Amino acid sequence: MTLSDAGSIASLVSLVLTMFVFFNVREIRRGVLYKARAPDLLKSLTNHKSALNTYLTDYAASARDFQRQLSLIEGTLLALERKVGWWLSQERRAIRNARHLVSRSRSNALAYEPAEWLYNQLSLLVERLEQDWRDREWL
Amino acid sequence: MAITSQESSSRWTEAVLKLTKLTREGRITWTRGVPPPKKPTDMSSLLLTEEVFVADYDNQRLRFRRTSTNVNVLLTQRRHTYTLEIVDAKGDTIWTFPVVEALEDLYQAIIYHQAGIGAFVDRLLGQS
Repeated sequence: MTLSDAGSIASLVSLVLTMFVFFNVREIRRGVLYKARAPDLLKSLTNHKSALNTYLTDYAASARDFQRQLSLIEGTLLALERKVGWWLSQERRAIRNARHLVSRSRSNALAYEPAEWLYNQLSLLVERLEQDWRDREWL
Repeated sequence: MAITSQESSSRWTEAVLKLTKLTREGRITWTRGVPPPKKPTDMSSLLLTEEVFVADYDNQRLRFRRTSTNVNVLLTQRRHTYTLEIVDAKGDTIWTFPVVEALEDLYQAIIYHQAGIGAFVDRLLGQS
């Protein structure tokens, strides 16, 4: 192996290490940000989701309120999504899926059954994020 | 295949969501109950207040309790705790559901029907 080959290999290793460090620093930053913001955002998501439950009680009269609440939920989900983990993390994918679901539901009026299904999906997501948050509190 | 804690939690969440749906639709009717008796030495009753609701469904008696702390100093992140149980005829606990976030919405649905909120809002909006 020539000195030039060794130099090339060292450059590649250095590049990989730099990328590794960059990725880790970004994840640490994201983790700190999530730790600071998650309680408020989760509380906000829980409150918006509870409002949907109230609207479902008399859905015929509250369908428009239900629809309006979805935009607040979408905003909260977007804020959570950016902080919860990297692009392919399970929690981030779950939030992204829920956000797409909310976004699609926002564009047209929902019948009672789809509205209830959406509320159930959001309830399951909130429970999942709460469990994840409790796990993270140990770290 | 092993069941993860999240899958298990989803199962209980779905069960609570089902009870919430039945409550919303008026297929389960909850009535106010009395809190289970405490031992005279139990000082927690000084610090905690409890709301109790009971309902019968599918040959089981359900009891829902919301416990609130009275003393602000003791407040931590969560002010209320929610407990859903299956009890026997004497009121003794047979089974306690795991604590899941959806219990808060079940409480909301119970109170909505209990307090006659829907009828009140209808009357309010119907007034000229």
